[in-house]
Amino acid sequence: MDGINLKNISYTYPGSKAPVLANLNLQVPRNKWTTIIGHNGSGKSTIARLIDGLLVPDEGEITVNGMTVTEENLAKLHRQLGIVFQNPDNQFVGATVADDIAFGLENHQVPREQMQPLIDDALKKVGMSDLAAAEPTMLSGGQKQRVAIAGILALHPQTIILDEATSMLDPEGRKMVLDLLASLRQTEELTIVSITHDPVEMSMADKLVVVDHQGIAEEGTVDQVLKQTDLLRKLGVGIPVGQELRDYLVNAGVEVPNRYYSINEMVEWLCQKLS
Amino acid sequence: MSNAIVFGSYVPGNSPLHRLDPRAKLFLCITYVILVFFANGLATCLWLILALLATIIASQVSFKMYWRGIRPLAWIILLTVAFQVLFSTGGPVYWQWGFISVTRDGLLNSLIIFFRFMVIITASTVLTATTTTLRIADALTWFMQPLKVIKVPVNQITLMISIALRFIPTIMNEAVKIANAQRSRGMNLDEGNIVKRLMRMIPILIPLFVDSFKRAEELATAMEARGYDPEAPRTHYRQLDWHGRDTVSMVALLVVAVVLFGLRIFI
Repeated sequence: MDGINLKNISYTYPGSKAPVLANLNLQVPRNKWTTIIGHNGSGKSTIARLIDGLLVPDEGEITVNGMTVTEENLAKLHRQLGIVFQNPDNQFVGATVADDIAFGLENHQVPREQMQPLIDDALKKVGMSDLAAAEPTMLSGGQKQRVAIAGILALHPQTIILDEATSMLDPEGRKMVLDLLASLRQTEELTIVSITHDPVEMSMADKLVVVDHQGIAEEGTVDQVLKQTDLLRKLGVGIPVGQELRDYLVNAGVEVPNRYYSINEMVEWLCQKLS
Repeated sequence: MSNAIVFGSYVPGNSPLHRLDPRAKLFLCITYVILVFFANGLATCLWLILALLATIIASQVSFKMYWRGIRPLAWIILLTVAFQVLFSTGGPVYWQWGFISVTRDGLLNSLIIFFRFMVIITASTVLTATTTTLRIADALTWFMQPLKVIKVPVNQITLMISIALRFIPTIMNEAVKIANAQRSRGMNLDEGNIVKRLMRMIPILIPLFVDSFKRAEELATAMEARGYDPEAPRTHYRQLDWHGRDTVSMVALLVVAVVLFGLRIFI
C-alpha cells in the first residue's frame, strides 16, 4: 500500500491520564502535500513522531509505503523519511553545513567517496552551495532549516515531514523555506507532510487534515476545509487572509459564494464584482 | 562575537603550518613541550627558542597574536618568577631581608621557569593559531583510536566533543540573551562585591541549564530521526590525510630532539 497509513492509532504520553490520540485513522497520499493543523496539544506533533517511529503507539498499526513501522524497520524507515523540526538550532549537528549534511550519510554508512557528490547535489537543490563551509552561527534560521532539508534530501527520501518547521522563522526565512518546498514539490517525487499554524503553508497543501479531540475533526482539500472558518476559529487556527475577507464581506451583507478564496482569488473576485 | 571568544586564537591562513596535518601538529606540540623540560643550560634553551622561532616564522602569524596568547597569563608568570627569586635558596646569597633572600640558584631557577612558561605558551599558541578547534578534536580522536581495544567508546566521545564545540557559541548567545532578559527586569550585574556578583549568576545559570537540557533532548530526537544509532557502525566524512610535508615535520622534530640531547651531553 502506498503513502502513509495510520490505522486505529491510540497513544498516551507516559505519566498523563488522557490519551492524546485515540482510534485515529489517517491516510497520507503518496507524492502529495498533506498539511495537518490543530491547536497546540492536539497531537499534531505526536502524529509526526509516531510515523517516524520516535514514539511507539499503544495500539494500532502504521505503514509507510507498505512498510510497517517497527523497531526492526527503523533504520530503513529513517532513510526514506526525514523530519524537519521546529527549532533550527537544535537539529544542527555538524560543525559546518557540509558536516551537518554528512551526518545523516554517516549514520546510514554511505561510503566516503560517494558523500561529496551527494552533499554538493543536496546543497544545490536548496540553493546553498556557497555556504558549504559556513558554521551554524553564521546562518540565519531560514538557512539552517534549508540545511536541515538538504540533510534529508541527500538521502533521497520519499517523504519529508515538517513539524512546525517555519514557526520559529522570521517572515523572510519562512518564505525562503516555503518557496523551496514548493519548488522541490515540482522537481522531486516527494510526499510532504507539514504540521503548521501558518495560513500560507496551509493553503499550499493538496490535502488538509484537522486534528482535534484525539482524532481527525475534518479532512479534505484546501478548499473544502478552509472555507469552514467557524471550525478554524474554534480550533484557534490562523485563517487565511482571503477567507477572512470573505467572512467580513458576508457579515456586511455582501453575497459571496461559499467556497475557499486565496488572496489572489479574492482580489480577482472583487475586481470582477466592482468592474 | 561569541565565535571570537571561543575560536579567537585561530588565525585563518594558508601557511605551511596551517596546511600541516593536525595530528602532526598536535604531536609536534606535545613532544616539544616535553623537550622543554630537558633543556638545562644556555645552549639547549637557545636551541629550543631557535626551533620555536622557526615555526613561528613558518606559521606566518604576526608576533602580536602570540603576545596576545601570553598576555592573559603574564601575571601568573611574573608571580611564579618572583616567588622563585625570593624564596628559593642555594648558592651565594646576594641580598637578604628576614626569610626573603635572593640567591644565585633562585635567580637561575626563576630564569628557567620563565623560559619554560614563555616557550610552552607560545608553542601551544602556534598550534591553536594555525589549527581550528575542530581539527584539533579530529586529531585527538585519532590518537584515542587505540583505546577502542579496552572498550572505550571512542566514536561516541568524538561525537560528544564535536557537538559540544558546535554548541558553545549557541549556548553563549543564549547566556547573553538571558542576562539581557534579567537586566531588563532590573538586575544589575556589575555592582557589589564578588559574592554578590556570583549570587547574581544564579538567575542566569539556572535558565541556561534548563534550556540546555531541553536542547539536548530535542537534539537527541533529531539525531535519532536522522538515523543515528550509537551502537551501529558509521562512515566518516571528515578525513585526515597524511602528506609528505607531515613526514618532513616529524623528521625536523627528530633533528631538534637529537641536537638537544647532543648539546646536553657534550656541553
